Amino acid sequence: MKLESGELLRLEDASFGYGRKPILTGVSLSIHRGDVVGLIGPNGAGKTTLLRGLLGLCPMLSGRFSKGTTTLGYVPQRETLDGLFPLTASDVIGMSFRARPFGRRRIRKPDREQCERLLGKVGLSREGGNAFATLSGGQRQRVLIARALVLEPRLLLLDEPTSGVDREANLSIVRLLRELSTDGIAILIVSHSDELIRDEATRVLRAANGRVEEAEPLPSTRVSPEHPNPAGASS
Amino acid sequence: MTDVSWSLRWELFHFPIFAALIAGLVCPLIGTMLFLRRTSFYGIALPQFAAAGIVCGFAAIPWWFEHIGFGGLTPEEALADAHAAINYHFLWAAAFTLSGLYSLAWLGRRGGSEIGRVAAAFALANACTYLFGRLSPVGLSFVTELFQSEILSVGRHEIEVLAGAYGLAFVLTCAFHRDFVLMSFDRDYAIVLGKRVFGLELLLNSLIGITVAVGTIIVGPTLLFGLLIVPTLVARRWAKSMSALLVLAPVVGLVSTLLGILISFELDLPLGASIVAATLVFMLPGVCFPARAPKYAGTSEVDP
Repeated sequence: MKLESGELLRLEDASFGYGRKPILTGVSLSIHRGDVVGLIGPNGAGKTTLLRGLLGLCPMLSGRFSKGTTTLGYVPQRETLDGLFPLTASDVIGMSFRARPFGRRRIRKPDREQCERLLGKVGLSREGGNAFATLSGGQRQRVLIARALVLEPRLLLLDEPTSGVDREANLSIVRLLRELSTDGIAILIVSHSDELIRDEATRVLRAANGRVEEAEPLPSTRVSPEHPNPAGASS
Repeated sequence: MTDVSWSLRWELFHFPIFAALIAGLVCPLIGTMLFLRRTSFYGIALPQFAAAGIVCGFAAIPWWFEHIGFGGLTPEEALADAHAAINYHFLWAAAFTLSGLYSLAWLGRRGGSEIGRVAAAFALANACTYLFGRLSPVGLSFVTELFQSEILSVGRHEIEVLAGAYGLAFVLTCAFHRDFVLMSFDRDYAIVLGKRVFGLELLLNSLIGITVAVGTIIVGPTLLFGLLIVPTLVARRWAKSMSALLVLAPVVGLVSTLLGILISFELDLPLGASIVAATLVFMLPGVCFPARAPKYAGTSEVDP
């Protein structure tokens, strides 16, 4: 299955599940450069299953999947990560260097500089030496985004990036995602936050009843001259 | 034993001292991996599996002699020969430890309470030890002695086996520690990075199994429990980074071992138990001055 120009990945009639039991069936989608795709749906609808399927963490039971040479960056839910580990923010970012072939994994000066640059990019240039577990929820999320950026991905997949963070942290993550999108990185966000999807997604996918279908973009909550009373804003 | 000079003690007991020091260095490193994977309780259950395996091995001697043999030796000769006996015990201890470990790891992937599983595994292994003990009272008394951790009878062959097995465990754990940490911290991300997580887990579990099986036979379960668990807990309190934790835990293990040797020889107490008691010295500050909740380190440009 050959990808078109600008196309980063394509799924055709794919089903994903665990064991022999499919959770999602008949999924067809395509993601292009510059897309910011929001994946929404009720709990248990299969949003995370699709994300895991794209990353190879959940088996594809049937259908076709092609991502060509696209590098995928993955930002997991930070609640799944254990605070027991005495890891600094830089240690967490440095984990991505383990993807290199054996013998080239030692973290050298240019790698440390790259870590510092990425910490600066996510607004945490002074936090590199701090313990990951002691950072706030929003900061940890941004460290995980920096970790994914080490791989220089063309498509970034984020699982609930703003869940459980306060409004300020939420805004900082949104600003960062916007900046990454401007840099040409395509983004797929799984989120319960309507606001995030409404304001940032250029396309919306809705998971329900074991299917994933393209949906109409949700009206933005941003106040603009064209939309003085945006959806979701209180009157 | 207080009127015996240290040079004579060294001459008489240098093998047990070496054994304790090797265990003091390697067990805390392996214990760190157990701790990070939140499986510290394996350090209690697995030696019990090894003990059950050893007793089962004693009970199976007639069958083994009939079907496999001891290289031309009679069972009595085999058990009297240090090399043949330790190899035979190690085989059974390793078989039971690895079976127990892989079963626990497999059941762990299916969810549920880890503590409940480990407690049940410990109870089962304990029961098996006594059931097999009915078939071989000699085996049961051998294991009962092991549990006392009186390691003064350790000889050259035991040291060779311990140094070989623990040397391998130490080198491989150091070589792969970053991969082990990555896989333990974020298994999914390790897979996304293309790590062969199944192979790494197999390697780590095998290293844990070998460490426990050899340690149970040579230094005894009591010393093994203590060195697998306590030095890591002490080091975790002070370590600010992963590297510090991985260095500090073996250092605490080694210093505790030296202190334990001193206590044992001066007060004429069992060596293994004295070393475990010595680790408590390092636990005391943590008990008396509990760690405060982590301080919020928010100094970023964006977050308040």
